Amino acid sequence: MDEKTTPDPITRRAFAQRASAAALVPIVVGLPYIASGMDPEAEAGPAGRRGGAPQEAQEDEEPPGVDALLDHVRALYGERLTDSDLVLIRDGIAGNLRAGLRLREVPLTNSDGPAIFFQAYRSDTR
Amino acid sequence: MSARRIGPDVLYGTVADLGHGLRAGEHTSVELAEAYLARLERFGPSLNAVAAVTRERALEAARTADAELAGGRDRGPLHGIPYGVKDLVAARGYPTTWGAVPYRDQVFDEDATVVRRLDEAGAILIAKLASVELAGGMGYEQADASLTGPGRNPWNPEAWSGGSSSGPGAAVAAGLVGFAIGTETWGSIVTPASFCGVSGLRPTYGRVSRHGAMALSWTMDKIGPMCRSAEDCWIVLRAIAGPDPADPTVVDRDLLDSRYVSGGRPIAPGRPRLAVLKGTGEKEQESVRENFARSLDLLATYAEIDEVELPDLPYGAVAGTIIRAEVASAFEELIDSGRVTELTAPEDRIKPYGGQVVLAKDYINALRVRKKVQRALDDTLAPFDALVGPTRAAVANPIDVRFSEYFDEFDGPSIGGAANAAGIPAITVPNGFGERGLPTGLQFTGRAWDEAAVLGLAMEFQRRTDWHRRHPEL
Repeated sequence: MDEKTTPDPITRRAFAQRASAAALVPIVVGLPYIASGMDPEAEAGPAGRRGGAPQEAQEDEEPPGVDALLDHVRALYGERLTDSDLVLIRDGIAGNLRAGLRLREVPLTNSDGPAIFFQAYRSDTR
Repeated sequence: MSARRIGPDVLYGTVADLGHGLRAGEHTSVELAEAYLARLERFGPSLNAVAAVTRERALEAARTADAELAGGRDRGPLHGIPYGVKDLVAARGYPTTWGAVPYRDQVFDEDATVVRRLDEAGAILIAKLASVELAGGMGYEQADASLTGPGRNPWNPEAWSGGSSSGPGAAVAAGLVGFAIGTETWGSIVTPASFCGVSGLRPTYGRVSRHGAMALSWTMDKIGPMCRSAEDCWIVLRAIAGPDPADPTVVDRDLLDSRYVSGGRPIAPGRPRLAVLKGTGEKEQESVRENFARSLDLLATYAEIDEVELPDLPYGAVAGTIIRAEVASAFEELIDSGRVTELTAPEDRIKPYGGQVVLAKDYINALRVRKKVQRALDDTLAPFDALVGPTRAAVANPIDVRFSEYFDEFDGPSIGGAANAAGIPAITVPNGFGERGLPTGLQFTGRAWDEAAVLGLAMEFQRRTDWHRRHPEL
């Protein structure tokens, strides 16, 4: 079994102690742009942490390519977008690219194919 | 014969309660439908919970249900029970607006598969229920993001009812329907169910046909029941689950073929093994922590509880990238046409443009990492019957406060992004009340195809508590 999945017994007392200690420490977590979040508390980040993109990603430098992709949006839709709209869209593109960088941190081999459902089609069932 | 007046106590009943009354002659299906229709029309508008009332269809179906019962034909536990469906799901001849102004006049000439199956089970469609516009897929940041207005919470109308299945959550909690059908891509069943204090089941991806429902994200969308008890969720799931030639993603797996089913009902094991994510109970809102601690105390009297950590994978990045890329394609025409500017929430008019330039390789990488997510979650959950935790880190936000201003204060480990990326089932059940008189929820998450496990555990919890029997004063 993976070491990280090994269950540790949790006691009621330990749970209460942790909860009590945590109550003394105010926690503020950022909720960055989520281009299509279904969820007002959308989770992203290691180990299913709540609060949007992981904090370390927010602190990273801006990923390359943001302005190139923004230029693409501007070329297609620029006439209908204001400067403030473009700022919001730019933030979103940066968030998308950061998510892409997070994905690239996961080691993938050539045999790690995508989870895509596809099958060849014919109309009869023979 | 004049219709008998049916009181709220009856209308707040479970499907089993309502069915018992029908078969005992305490009320007819027509009387039930009339009573729920009256409540939908009286309370629905103030809660912004209703997209359309399907009165004619409802009364015709109720008359048929009564005639069949009188003639000895009983279609089962949903026979004659009125219900509502989220307005992402098509019902022939009635508007299906997807909660969004650009689609306000959209009418389909065919029922969605779930509606057809509920018809066949004898249930009575009485309303299309409100949804956040386009299931929240455009990136909304506030409650006021729907054609029908901000969903108001029956426990406190100054709070949000949750999203994106806002109407189903509110209507079930307020006793406006016997049960409801919601949809979830990421959180859209369990969030409003938790905020409104009802039981909501997100089935395994591929358990229920999506034919006739709005596609937001083809590889993430699920349809599931929102009810006044976990047992009701099982009853409804049995009616709507199963293969459908119109949706090839549905897998032919028998719900009853499970070690968690006995006598046709879900059961909890004698001494269940439950997992809790490390860090739970530390950073959530105070009432959420307290109520979860109390629930854990209760669970510990009959279950083994261990702490686990999820492997370190970018769960949110996987789910978010997949959804953004699929939404960009699903709604490209809306964006290209410029009609996206007709959406209600200002941010929904702008944010989708960023999704138009998600890199193809990032999407494919997300689908590749998704397989690792699936295996990691299954490995983590395999030694257990379910993972249990607070459904949300906080109760519902005040209706005029943006999500970031409210929810950013609270944190804690969450299984939601990972579980939706992996397509595994979960149920939320009410476990108490918190700030501003609003409900909190307890969530059981299970392995793929183990709906019976999470339902059995939730039913056992509800056998020992009465939170699901409490109702708001309207």
